[in-house]
Amino acid sequence: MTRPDNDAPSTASPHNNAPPATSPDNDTPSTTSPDNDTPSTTNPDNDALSATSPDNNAQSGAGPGDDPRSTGGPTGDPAPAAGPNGALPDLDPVIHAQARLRVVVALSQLPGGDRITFPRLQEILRMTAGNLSVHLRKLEEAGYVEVTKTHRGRTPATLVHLTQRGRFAFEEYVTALRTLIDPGEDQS
Amino acid sequence: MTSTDDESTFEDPGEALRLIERERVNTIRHVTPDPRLMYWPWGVTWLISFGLSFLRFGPDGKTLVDMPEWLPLITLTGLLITAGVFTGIVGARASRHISGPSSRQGAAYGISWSAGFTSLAVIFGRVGEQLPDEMLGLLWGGGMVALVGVLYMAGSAIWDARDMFVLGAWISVVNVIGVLWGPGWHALVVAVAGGGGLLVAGLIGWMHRR
Repeated sequence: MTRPDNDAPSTASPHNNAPPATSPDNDTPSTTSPDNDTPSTTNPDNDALSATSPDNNAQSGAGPGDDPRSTGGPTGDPAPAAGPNGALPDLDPVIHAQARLRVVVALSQLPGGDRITFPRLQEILRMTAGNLSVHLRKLEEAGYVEVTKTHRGRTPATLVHLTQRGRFAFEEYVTALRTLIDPGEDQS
Repeated sequence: MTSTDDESTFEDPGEALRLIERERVNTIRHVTPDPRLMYWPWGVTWLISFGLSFLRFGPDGKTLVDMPEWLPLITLTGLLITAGVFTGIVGARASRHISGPSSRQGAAYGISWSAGFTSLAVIFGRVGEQLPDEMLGLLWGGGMVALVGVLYMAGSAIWDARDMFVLGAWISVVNVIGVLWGPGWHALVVAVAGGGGLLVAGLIGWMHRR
């Protein structure tokens, strides 16, 4: 019952090839960052990651045109080993937002192949219908989630499930998080 | 509709990991039945009905507590049906509105229980005609409990649930010991160790998922 997240770290390759096709405009960070794999730095976690948060625009997934690298700025120190983008490119922007992360985690707990109805998912996540559908759409655009309309008896039903790609992206995301916390962990 | 923190990210990766863990636990709590509700009804059933059976049909044919002959069996039947219906509802509630392989697994597993009990009931009913009463009790009790032990072990193979395997193995071992020990003792062993094992399994399962 506990699965993907726990296994994930062992696979750990620091080179996250980020969300491949997600949103084209976000590709930039993943392609850059050759310095990516050395989070070995001094002040790894907090500084590195806080770089992501201040500027949410970059996270908005499909956010048109804003150069994600601009987020590297706020930490202010370009030099140290983590590099301006050291940590950032590892975190999939589609998943790295609280609401969507919660959706992905919940879906990842269902056995592969299982589908859950929209209202049930909503109940588990305690989100409004509007809110949930917004995030599902973004996840769907990224190819992480599949939403199908069907009928249960006579009533229409919307079924949701995490795709293979979504599962993989989530594992990668967890791996990236762990690498940020303990850079040495999976280098050995 | 959309709350302000929708797109908000995290101050540090630890926070994200904690959120993941929280949400994981929350989801599991929703989509899997509470182990206490799944095991305790059976534990209580075994404790009471095998307990009554031991008191009424004790070792060496002794009656430890005087009560009508039919009481243990009626109690067992009543409690079994209640527990079956109750756990069926709890299990179905947890998996409602989720479709796919897991619901087919659940259905196949549920049908296995019914098929197993029906088969044994037919066999024992047929064979039992030839047996003295005390051996008849041992045959039914030992046979049914053996089936339960094996089904729990098989269930652990489906859901990759170690607790369930341990429970099934425990029940199987305890049952065999009871059968070898003989009529009367079997009921005592199953009531205390078997019923107790089910109660403990519910408790452990519940603690694991908190």
